Amino acid sequence: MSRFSPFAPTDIEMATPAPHSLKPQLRLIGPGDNASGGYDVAEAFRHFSAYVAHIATRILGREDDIDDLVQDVFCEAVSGLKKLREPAAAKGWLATVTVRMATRRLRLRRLRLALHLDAPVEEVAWPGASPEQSAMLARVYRRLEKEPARHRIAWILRVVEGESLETVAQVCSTSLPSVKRWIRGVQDRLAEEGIVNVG
Amino acid sequence: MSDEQNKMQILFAPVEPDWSPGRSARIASRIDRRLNRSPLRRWFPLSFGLAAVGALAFWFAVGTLRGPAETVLRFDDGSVVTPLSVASRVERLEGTDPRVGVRIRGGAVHFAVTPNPERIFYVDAGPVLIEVLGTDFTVSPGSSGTRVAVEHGRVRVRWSTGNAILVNGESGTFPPRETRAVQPEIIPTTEPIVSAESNSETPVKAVRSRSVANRVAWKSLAQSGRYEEAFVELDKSVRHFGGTSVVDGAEALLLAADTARLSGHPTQAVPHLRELVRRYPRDPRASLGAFTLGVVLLDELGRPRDAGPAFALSRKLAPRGDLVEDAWAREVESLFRSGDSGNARRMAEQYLKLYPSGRRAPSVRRFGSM
Repeated sequence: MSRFSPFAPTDIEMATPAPHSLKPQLRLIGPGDNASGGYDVAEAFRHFSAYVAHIATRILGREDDIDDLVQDVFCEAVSGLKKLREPAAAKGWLATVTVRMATRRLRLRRLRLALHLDAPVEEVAWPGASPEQSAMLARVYRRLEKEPARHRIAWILRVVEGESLETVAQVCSTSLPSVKRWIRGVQDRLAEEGIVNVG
Repeated sequence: MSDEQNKMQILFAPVEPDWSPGRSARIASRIDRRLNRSPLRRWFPLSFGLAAVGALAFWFAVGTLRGPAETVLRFDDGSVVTPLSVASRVERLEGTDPRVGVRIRGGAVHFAVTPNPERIFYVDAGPVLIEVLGTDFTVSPGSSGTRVAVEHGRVRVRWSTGNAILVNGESGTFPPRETRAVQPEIIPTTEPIVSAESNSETPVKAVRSRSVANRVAWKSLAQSGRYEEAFVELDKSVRHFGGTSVVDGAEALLLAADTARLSGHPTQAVPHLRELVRRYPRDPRASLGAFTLGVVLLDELGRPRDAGPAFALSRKLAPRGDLVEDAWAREVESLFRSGDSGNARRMAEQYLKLYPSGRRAPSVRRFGSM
């Protein structure tokens, strides 16, 4: 199970400082409170905002939308987290919401691309990446841009993030056979373009 | 895929947000502000009523809005039912094995049903009822009928006076226009969905009745060599009724493929040819269909990797047919062009062993690098 698995124990925390500006009145969790197993938004943000930003960055392939997406996810968390019966499920729930919101953004981006309102993926100089690595990443993301949003996300979660197929199916809200087919399809098309080898 | 996974994980390692404490605090502050807006400020944007409604309609049209995660239905066998818009309403119907039912009360819904021949999964979409073995498909109820689009697998759509079977990539709007006036209740039956082979002529019966005019039009135009006009008529039917359901019979599928190909639309020939070999594998024209599919993929669409299996199928469907040597030679060429020179050479050696002085020997030697 990868470090970022939504189903990893919730005590694997990201190095994120406490967001003191989240006020106490945002503690809206569950029938009880933290003592009875609830989970509040401030706590969720402290533990998982870096995680949400990480998977969003991997999926979207650029940083310019990340802040808005993280903001949207945690605004939805205010009402969503209180419905969770099991606090340990918070991370998985946040992953699902992140994937859903990233899907919307990817679809919107495809539409904008079709209407020439957005530019295709450009090479991003990721810190720590060699020029060749950055060029290859841009090539992969350019190919992924042509894939349906959910197929792209399933491939990223499985191949790049190393999540189990069951986890990917759950996060993408689809069945296991569909996820397998989506991932294989993306893999085949990347192989056709010589970006990956078929394994 | 593990080696490939390792490579990808190394490649993507630098793709990380620059998540500094300052950035985190900034976002937290923005969330805080957004959540603490006064009710008036929070709802103020909605005062732009028309703009908001327009934007929503646009989002609905492009299918970008998803229902809340809580409305996704999950079944014990792994089947998943996902509402595709905020207007989608779906509920699970009470029932006992071997039937599992879902009712759509509005909006588009996607189904990913795990294959299970032991039970019948059905969808009650008002005037139509959809039965499925294992498949992915989307149901979109609308004022002009219920649109069913099958991504993968096979479903049967039943309405008051008929039924149709849709398979991979096919779609259609049901019930057919002339039957919409009469809508008695449809009772799901326990009759199983029959296999493709035994039901080859019945699936599109009802759809067929709607398309008589179009079928006559495109066929007669094609038979008189007016392929471009024929393609226009054929394309209208395909768009209106979905998939290849407007074309029945091996001869008609071959003619439809020729119409597409000879009017300069090779891509549209592919589904007709695939349907021909899938639906009528025992028909004497199936081998020709597979061979033509290979030619279209190799010569007209530049897809040698897909063309090879089509030529192989052509040989398999008629091992003693007139086309067998040609199919063999074109398969060697496809393998060569797709970069698989090892298998191209192996196939070439086999050909020369079987047909030492075969009429395609020069081509086979060339593409087999011999």
